[in-house]
Amino acid sequence: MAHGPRRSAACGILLDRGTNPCPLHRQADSQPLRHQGSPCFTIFLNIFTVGLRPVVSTEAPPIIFATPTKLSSNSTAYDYAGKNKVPELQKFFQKSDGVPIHLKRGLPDQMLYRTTMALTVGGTIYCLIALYMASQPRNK
Amino acid sequence: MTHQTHSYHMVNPSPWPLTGALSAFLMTSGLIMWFHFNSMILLTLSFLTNTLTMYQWWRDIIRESTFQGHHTPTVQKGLRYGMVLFILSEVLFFTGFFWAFYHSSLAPTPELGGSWPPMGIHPLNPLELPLLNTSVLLASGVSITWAHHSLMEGDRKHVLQALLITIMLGFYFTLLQVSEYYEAPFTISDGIYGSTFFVTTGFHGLHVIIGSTFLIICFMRQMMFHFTSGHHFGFEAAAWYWHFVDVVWLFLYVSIYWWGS
Repeated sequence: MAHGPRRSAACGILLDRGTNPCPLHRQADSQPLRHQGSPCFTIFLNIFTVGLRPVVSTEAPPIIFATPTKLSSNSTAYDYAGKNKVPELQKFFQKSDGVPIHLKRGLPDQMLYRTTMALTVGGTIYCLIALYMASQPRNK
Repeated sequence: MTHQTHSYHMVNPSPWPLTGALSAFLMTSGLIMWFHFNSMILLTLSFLTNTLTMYQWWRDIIRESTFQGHHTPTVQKGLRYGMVLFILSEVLFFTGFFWAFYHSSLAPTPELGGSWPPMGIHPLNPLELPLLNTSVLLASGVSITWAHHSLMEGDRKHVLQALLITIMLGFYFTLLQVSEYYEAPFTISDGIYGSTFFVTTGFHGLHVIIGSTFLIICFMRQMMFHFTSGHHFGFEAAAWYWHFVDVVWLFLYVSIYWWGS
């Protein structure tokens, strides 16, 4: 189903869990998002998802320090995906070292960039030579 | 300290528009070299550089959004408009080929025997493989909607399951079409029937492959925890594209396979 462009009021729907270092991007929100839609659709969705809805109250439960904050993914039961590396990647890519985004990872980025540039620019020069040669009249 | 006082994204200078443009130049010149001089070097090089550009460009967008947080609601709105306009341009692209089909089939010339399908053409039975293909794509539309709702509810396992089903259905469709192409009793050079059939279904098949690739990327990103229940525009864009591919097939099926047989 298609969703139209969100109005700027959608800002308020994105919740900040507080542990995220970057205020612009909320990765760890666990509140399920209800899209604004017709009442019929909402009722339809409610009827069919009542049994599937996660049991989450809208107020924060009394926090016990031993209980971790609930992330959007439960990593305990599903180990096949590995652990969530996004927070550390966020910290890594947000380092203000002045390096542009396409080179931020260092050596592997540089190698790939140089290969791409060499192939495209080299290819273009080859192409121009080939086109020049192709445009020469053939001797019969 | 300099901080922006607006919610737009001022992108770092990037080399990918240049490499993308150059790869397009290599592709067009490569086609000339292939058609006229029997050389595939340039064409192969162009596909390679194009793929490298796409990989790095979209990799950078993921870095800017998921890792750096630049995709504010304002930015996301722009991306939504962009995707809608792109899909609209693709709709117009297909409209051209459907126009060509209807132009030829509504008023068949005497050279065709004054009939559609033309004299001597044995069209495919619309109730056999093409109907199966229709059900496969419709089912994939259901599964991707299931994936989306699971994503909105934070149900990680089911997002992966439903996405996988969608991708597999996409592959199944592609395989069925390949076998249909192999078995078809007519070819692309069989007059205007062959041309309209294979060019339209061929471009559609290419879009299925592109859509499947997009879905695979979404699957990998979901594995890596990139999407949240409230912010997953990459997934939505893939879902929109997939539904578009499905709708084009429905038009194809009704017009070319069914009405045109």
